[in-house]
Amino acid sequence: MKQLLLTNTELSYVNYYIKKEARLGIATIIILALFVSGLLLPAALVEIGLTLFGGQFDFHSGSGWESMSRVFISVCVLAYLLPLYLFRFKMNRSGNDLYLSLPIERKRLFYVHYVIGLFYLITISLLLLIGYSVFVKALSIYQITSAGSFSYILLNIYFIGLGVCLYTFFTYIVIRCHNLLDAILMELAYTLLPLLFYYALQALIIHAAEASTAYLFLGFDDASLLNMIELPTAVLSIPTQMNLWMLYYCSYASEAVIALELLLVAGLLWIIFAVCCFLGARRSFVRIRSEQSGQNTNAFFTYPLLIPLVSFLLLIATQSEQLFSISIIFILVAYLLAHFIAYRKISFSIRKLLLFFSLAASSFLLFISLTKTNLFGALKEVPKLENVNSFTLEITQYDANNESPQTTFLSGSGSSDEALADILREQAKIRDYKKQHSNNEFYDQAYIVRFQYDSDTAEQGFIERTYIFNQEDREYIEARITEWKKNNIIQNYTV
Amino acid sequence: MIEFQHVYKFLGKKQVLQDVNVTIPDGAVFGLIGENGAGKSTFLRLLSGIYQCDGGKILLDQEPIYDNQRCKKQILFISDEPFQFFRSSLSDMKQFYSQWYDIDEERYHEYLTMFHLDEHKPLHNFSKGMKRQAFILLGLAASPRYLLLDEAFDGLDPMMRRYFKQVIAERIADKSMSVIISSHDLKEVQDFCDSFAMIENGTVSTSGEMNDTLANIHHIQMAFHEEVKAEWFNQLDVITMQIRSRVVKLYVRGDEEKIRSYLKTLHPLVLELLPVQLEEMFIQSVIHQKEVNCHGI
Amino acid sequence: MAYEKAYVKWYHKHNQRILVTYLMIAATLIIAPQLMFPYDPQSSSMPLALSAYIVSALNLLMALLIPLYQFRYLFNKHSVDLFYPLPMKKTTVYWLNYGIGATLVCVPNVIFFINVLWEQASYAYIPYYLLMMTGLVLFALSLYALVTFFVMKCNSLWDACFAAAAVLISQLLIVSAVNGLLRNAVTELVNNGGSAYEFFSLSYFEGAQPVMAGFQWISASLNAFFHISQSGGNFLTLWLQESTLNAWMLIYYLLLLIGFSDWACKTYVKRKGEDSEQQTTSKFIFPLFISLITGSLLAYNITDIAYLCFTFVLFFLMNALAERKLVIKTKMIAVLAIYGISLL
Repeated sequence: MKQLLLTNTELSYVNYYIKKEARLGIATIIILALFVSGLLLPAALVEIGLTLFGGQFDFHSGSGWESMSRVFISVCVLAYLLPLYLFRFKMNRSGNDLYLSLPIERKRLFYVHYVIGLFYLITISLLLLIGYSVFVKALSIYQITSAGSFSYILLNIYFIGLGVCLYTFFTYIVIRCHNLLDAILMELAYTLLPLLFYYALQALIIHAAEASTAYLFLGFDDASLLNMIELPTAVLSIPTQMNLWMLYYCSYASEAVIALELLLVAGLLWIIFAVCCFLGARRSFVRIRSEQSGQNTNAFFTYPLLIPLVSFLLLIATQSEQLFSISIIFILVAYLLAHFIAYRKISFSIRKLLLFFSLAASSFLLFISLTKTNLFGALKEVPKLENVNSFTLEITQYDANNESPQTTFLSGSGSSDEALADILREQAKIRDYKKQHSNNEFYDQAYIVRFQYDSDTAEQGFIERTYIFNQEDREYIEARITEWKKNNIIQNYTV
Repeated sequence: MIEFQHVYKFLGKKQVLQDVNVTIPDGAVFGLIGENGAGKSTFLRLLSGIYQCDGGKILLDQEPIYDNQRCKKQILFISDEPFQFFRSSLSDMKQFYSQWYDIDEERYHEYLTMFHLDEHKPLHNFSKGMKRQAFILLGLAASPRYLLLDEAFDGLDPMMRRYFKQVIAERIADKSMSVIISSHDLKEVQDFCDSFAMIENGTVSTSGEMNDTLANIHHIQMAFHEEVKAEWFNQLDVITMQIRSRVVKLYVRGDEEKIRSYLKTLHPLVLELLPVQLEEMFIQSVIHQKEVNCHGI
Repeated sequence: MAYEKAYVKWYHKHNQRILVTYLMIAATLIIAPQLMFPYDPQSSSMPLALSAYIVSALNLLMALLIPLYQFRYLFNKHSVDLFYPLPMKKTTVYWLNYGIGATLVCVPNVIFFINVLWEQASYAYIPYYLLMMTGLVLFALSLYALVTFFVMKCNSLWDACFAAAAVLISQLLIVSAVNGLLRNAVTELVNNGGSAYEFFSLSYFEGAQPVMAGFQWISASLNAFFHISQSGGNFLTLWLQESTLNAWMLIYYLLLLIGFSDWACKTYVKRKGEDSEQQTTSKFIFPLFISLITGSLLAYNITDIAYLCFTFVLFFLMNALAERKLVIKTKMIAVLAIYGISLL
């Protein structure tokens, strides 16, 4: 505990530092205050591009929740910039000579600069928050602290806490880098990485599902793999947590409880993450080798990890059933460019190319293994018999060149268990036929076969399966219909 | 007292210092000399705690210096290209240093006047020499127990050098401050330093008291009746030897009287023993080291 | 002549890798649409159209970046110490660097033309592509000349980057500002009953900005191609109907190119070695661009408080960059007030 307190010398240094940077601090507060109050960004610019949070956060709206996001964005901006500014001395030789020769232990030197950053972050955030509450929302101090606004305060403390966690994380990243350009690039990369991770996995799962069902039109009701990647995203993603707070504040009791539970879990995870980053940053700072400052960054969590990882994510996001596709060329060029930037040298090596192609091969193998195993069993095409109450079968003729409406060729329904079992078998036959006879051409004239099942599962009321056949398969379709009628599989049908 | 005990240091794959053993006494002006790339700046950075040695120990009063606040408080390092904050002045840098060291305000202003420096002018507008002066001034005003100056005097005009030497001498006398200077200006080092160390190829080839070391080396010029043979001087500790027909030039280590009495037995026509300067010693040492690939004087 | 050859040879050797990388990236980007969307006579315009726009974008980017790259040695004392004493006349050094840069700016256009030759089944359209490309090259080079001139006026790399970015941004802002001013005036005059375009043809004004000229030019050419492929006709007539950038505008760009290249050369020759790494004090950089950008923003919309705040903060930041100091001076407030009052 004693180690957390600053000594007199350290306090005096903190005091000196804050005074020295007073102008910059004041300018920052003014600019952020204008931004938070909505005065800084003209509406047109915001409306054009900023749909980062799925359109839910309209910056120019006077609504409290949406406007709160401006405070949090300001906190995030500080979390990005403060580590770069406070630890920039590490990035060049003469700065290192000055600071590392000072009569202070390295871990204390790190701690002092970290505390200075915390001071700026928390002070500016609180000033913005109070200023926003009082001047924009016209809340009095009593209103801010009254029981009804307790959640409002809690929400803001939560997000400032998140900001502190982000600041700690970026401090770790900056300390691992040896020069300013790499530090900036790493911060950007780690900001985009979770997004890329999420979308790449999602794209992989969706493409694999499409490929494994051979261009059939199936739903992803049971795609539990997708659910698996959405849960951690919900817990760790910051915009999602804003939604959760809205849910907690505005929703019914049961949803509010779930939202609160998720927020507590998320908060705890972020705290653990931040503590690990703090300890890692301190350790890295103590172990700084001054001769490396200004040199290329080669720490594991920087280019050596990120370049292959990002390339792999891009590869799996654009993967298809073909081993070689055009996207590989673009990703390869980006991969090589990233190496040029990382090592400040335009050079080609067999090793780099081999690594890339092995990543490409791995992504292809992963894709194939997902398609062959139906996403490791997660993709369920056929509905479970016990969950289904009744079905409807409809065959429609579609003609893009004809202006008349689609003609229903056949429709029927059934609800008995035998009829349901029969129709599921028929669907399987149709599915297998489609797998063997599938093609990618645009169907100007087609038969659309739709199976609809009414289900009593909690997630949805019905499941729909649609299969499209072109004119070449007309004979097959007619043969199937004849058989259904003959075997009395569909009851109550009309032609 | 500072001690380097079997210190090794690698920068990347290159071994910059190997098995360095040096003792730097208190209250001395210690000179550090060597060729370019010999390892002088690395030595000073190790001493100031910027670098950590890869082997061996660096001790101040029996305590390791690296990451030791108490030890580092007694050391102030001024590098060859001192860092300055963006658009800062000497006054701004003084304010920074005063957080960590005790800067004597009276002395600081006295030196400002003596060296004709404007403390409010941005440092980036100073010439290279003036920047050096500014930082040396800060170092002197702080008066730490050990002041480390990396190529401090290179770039200063003769008048400034004189002032600085005067001031340093005063500070040493007052506060028993020790100064460790690395320099290429060997005349200055000889003139100013009590003791020195010469770094060659990452090792300290020679170190010790300046006068004693130089007194032990002699520059001899001799002429003979006949062609000179190298074997005649096998009994002497020869550093370098240059023979031109009947004339020989030698750099020899040892007692002057003994050397003289031996040389007289060779019956030379001319025999001259001349005093050796540090620069000469340095050059001859480098030549010797390149010729026979061994170390030291 | 020997020194000049030696210089070019050294340049090529020294920059070989980066040139190869540039070629690779440009070729990948330009040829990419052809690979992604196979050639189809029914919809032939799409892949090549996309490539043409990519070329225009690359022209823009290279016209901004290449002057900074070619003349970066002017912004560092040590490199000035190296280049200024070379045994060549200053004008020669300038034209060598300028010429190499201009060649690099034209590279995407050459790649595109080779692509066209490879791709087009019928060679009947080649002369029209040539015409399109001549225009693109002219616009790119005139922008390059403009940026080179402003870069010559700067003393440090940050100032030069600001100047290059400001050349791009101010053109866009000026067009928006003129649009905004005229729209407001017309709204005022006809009592909300009309639009500026009924009274003014702004297309020539927009076409006079090198940044926007390239895209307009491509759009006109592609429309002409499309009409010919669908219903035949005379390309030139159609093209002239489509394009506002007729021969007079081409002459305008040619004059821009020659004028600014020469002016930049004169500025280069007058530069002093001691100016590098110093603050830029030329009236053509910060005073000009700060005035243009601030004035344009205010002209666009002076009534919205958000715009005013944004404009003031931007004005303040640009002045901070110019002075290298965070400071608000009375002079700055006075200048801002004058803009505001005159536009009101």
